Amino acid sequence: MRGSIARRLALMFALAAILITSTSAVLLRCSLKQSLETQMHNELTLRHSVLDPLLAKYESPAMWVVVHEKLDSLTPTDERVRYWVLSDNADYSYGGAMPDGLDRSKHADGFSIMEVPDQHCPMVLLSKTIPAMGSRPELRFIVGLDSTPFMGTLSTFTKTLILTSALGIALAALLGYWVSRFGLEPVRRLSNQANSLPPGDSKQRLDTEALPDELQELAVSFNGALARQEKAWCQLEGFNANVAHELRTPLTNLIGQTQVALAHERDLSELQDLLQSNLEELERMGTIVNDMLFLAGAESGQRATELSDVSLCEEASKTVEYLEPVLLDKQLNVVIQGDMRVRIDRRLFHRSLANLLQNAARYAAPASTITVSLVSNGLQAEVSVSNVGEPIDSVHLEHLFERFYRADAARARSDAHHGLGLSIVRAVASMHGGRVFARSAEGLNTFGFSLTSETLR
Amino acid sequence: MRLLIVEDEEKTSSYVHRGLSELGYIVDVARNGIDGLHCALEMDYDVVVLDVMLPGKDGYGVLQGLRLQKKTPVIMLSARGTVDDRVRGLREGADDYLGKPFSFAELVARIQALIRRRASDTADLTHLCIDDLEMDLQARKVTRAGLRLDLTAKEFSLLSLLARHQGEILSKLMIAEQVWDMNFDSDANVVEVAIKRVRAKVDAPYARKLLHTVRGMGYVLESREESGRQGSSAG
Repeated sequence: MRGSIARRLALMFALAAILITSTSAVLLRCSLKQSLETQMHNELTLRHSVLDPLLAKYESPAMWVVVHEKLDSLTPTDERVRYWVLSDNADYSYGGAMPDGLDRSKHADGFSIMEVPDQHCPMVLLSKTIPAMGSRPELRFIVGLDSTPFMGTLSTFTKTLILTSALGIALAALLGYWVSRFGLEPVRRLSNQANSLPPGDSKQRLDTEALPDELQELAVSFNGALARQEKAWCQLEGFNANVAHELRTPLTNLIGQTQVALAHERDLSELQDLLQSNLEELERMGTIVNDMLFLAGAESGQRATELSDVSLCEEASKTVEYLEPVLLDKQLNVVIQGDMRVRIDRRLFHRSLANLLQNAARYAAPASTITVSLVSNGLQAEVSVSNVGEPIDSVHLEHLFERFYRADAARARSDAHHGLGLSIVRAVASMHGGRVFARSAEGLNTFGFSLTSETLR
Repeated sequence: MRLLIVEDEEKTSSYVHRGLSELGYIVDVARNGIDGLHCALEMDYDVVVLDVMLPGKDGYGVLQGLRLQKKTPVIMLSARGTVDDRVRGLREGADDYLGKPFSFAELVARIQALIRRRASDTADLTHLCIDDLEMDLQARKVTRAGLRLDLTAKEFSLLSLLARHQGEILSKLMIAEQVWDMNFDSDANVVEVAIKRVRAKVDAPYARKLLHTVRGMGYVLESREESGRQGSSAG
């Protein structure tokens, strides 16, 4: 059932048909029953209106014989209609005992139902009181009408009704199935189209022109997903090229200097120096690979997990202390402003703040002050590092957090660091549900990131 | 101390074998999982270094087989450093896990840590003594040849870390982690700078040097015989 929309729709059509036909069938039957009853009542009333004056007219028991004869002649042989006259005086009585044995002489006037033994359908009775006149006492005159023919009509009608309803329901279900299959044809066409998208060609999209409105939306979102995939794919390819390129330099150094060293006899200390230098290159490559893996993890949506409650100022001081030699080299002074307690991964915080500080120290004017400011901004903690330095073109600002992006290729190359520092800051921010920002104004360059902490919520 | 290395990559096993032998360990090497498990069950090793990707039987298989009978400490090595691999290794009974690429110094440090954990002589020492250098960890007092040395807080914690691990090589990263609470390398070389300062106070005025640099690996605090490996104590 879960699998097919056509079958579901057919079932719903059938259910709707059942509801509609059964309601109307019940209503029809009720209305027929009512009009049949009215018809019976009318006939009884008619007979009374003809006979009542006759009964009222005759007085003496002698005259009453005429009444008996009249009633006899009016009673049909199949006893479809019967008459009773009830009286204490046997001379006036007619019709014998009531078939169900009830004494109706004391009952009120009006319609009633009488079950007749050995007969399937009851009789409908109309009793009336004929007032006393002269020597004749008060009488009770009852006309009975057998309901069998009326009930027969009703049951035939009911049977026909049930049959028609069942047929109608079946037809509605069938029709519903066919209609929905027909209506869902565009869906089938769309899925065929999607199936025939060629592998490896990320530029292909679904043709949305020929589709009905409802499906167009779906196809457009599907195309959107394809476009995002294509973008991610392109990024990945660029990423691979970046890594290969980045590893090429240390590899060239390693191969070259090892070859040069092996070309001639070298003394021990020279070889030791070579190995030391090789080790440094190798460690650099190791760092690049590990950083790339870290970034890949963050980009695939990994979140920080080793959370602890920390004071940002305390952790920032530790980080500054760790970088002291770099800062002392350029006689830089670091000021930390603000503080707050947050729940974050402190190791990741150290790392990203250190990257920002090293970046600031690299470009800061000698003997200037670097400011680390810790600001609470609604749900987020904002960490930023400002240094006095040459203004950065806004063209570069937005790209600086991208992997391997360098505003000034020649200058950055001379450093031992690779171009991943700021993108690691961005990864750490995203692992904490935050973002990165960069500003350059009034001789101050500010780079920062935000962190969403549970305790700030 | 006897170690077993189960590793099929020949270059890896050869340098690990050589490096550990030179540090005074007796080292056996197995080139596949089946031999590895056999050796680990037959002999009593202090630590087994086990690669995950192995021919014959993979590292997890070897670990399972070993754990059925023995509690030998195991360090797993893997090129796939994903969290899942790490969790699986540790859950199946490994004592430590090291992702490739790893530095040799790091491996040595972990092996030493496992051996130390096993020896469980971690009674809290408050008084340390290396040659004529004496440290009172509680009073935060350091003397050498009876003379009191004046150290800053960071210098003291660095020296006490080295003293607690005397004779063991500590990598820069390990020192950064223990003393500065930082677990990444930086351009700053803060460890080198601090070592230089400590050395100026602790070693410079004395003929017998205690704080040695092991090139490419880290630092060690020990009293070396005059005839010993003095060649490497430069720098």
